[in-house]
Amino acid sequence: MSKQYDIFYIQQYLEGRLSAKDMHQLERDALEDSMLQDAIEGFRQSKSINHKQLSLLQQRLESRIEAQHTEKNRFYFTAQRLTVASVAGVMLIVIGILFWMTNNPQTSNSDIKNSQARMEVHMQDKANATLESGFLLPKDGWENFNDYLSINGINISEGEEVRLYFEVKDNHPQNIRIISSGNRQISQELIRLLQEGPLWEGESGELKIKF
Amino acid sequence: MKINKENQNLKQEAAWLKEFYETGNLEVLGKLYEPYMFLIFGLCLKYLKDTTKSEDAVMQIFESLIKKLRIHRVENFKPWLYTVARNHCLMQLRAKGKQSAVLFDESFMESETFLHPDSSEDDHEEQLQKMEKCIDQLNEEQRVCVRLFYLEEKCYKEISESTNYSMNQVKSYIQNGKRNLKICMDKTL
Repeated sequence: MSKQYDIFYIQQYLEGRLSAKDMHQLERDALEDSMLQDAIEGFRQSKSINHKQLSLLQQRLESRIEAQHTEKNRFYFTAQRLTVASVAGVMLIVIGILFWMTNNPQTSNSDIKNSQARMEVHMQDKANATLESGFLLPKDGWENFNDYLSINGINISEGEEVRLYFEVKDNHPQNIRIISSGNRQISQELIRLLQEGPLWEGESGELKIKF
Repeated sequence: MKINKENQNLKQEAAWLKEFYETGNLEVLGKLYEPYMFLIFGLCLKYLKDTTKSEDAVMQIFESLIKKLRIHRVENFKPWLYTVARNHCLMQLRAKGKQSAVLFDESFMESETFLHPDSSEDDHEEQLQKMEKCIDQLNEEQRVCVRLFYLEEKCYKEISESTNYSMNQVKSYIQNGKRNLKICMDKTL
């Protein structure tokens, strides 16, 4: 192995401008260093060393490295972009999930509210019995009777209106007569509800039941 | 001092090689290659005998380093670079049909350290005696030139002047003498 010689030193050697001792040292090193040996021979054969050529070569090397660098940078940038994009994607998904998670209980809350509202509406729209004439009074009160009708007359569709007459005997409805009704089925259902239903007070009367 | 600097250079090269293997950064490879660029240029001049072709070859060799280093795990950069560069030039010559070339094995590394034996003083004395014997076995031209060069530390020019051999003759006598010496020394070991 030799120490690092530079082109000027070799040029000086080739031009015979080095001392005998330095020449010897270079030659000796060249014997140990095939690359140096070949290079010296090459320069000797070409008879001239053009420093401009060498600096041009250095520039070529630099621009070659630069080219790779920008290439690499471009690649790096795309990698960077990819990273940014993937991070953004992940964040989007996470945010989406968070939204869904936070919103979903809300929607289910609102679902409940809605159903509650609907129930309330339904409750408001529950069957309503009113006394048209005579004297009839549910033993547990009109409110409870309405509830009973609403719960048990669930098969009767909303909007139906039935007028009926009955008498009370031993707190039980008797001689139930339908005055007006949407159809037979509803009439029969309502008669059954009354017969199996709560107890009454009073004598007789006409009821209008609106579902 | 010289040895230290060489070691430092070798360490630096090893570090750069490692860095290049890890990062693939051409800037690092450039740092490795640049100090040798003018030597490679000279080497190419020797083989290709054409300035423009040699300039291109210097760049082509750099390109081939990028590819080859992906495959080879190189420990010692300089000897390896030498074989890569030389093979590149020889291939180019062969492609032109000028010369059938025998390519160097790139894993081959020449190590000629017999003249700087890493041994104790006793061994050194022994080695010198052995070398004297081996020098005596060389032919006359080689013996004269080797003695003048290694023992009297003359340069080629001085040897050429004192022996009337041409510079090239001197050089080849020394090269061949050195090779024969090495063979002789290895034999008697």
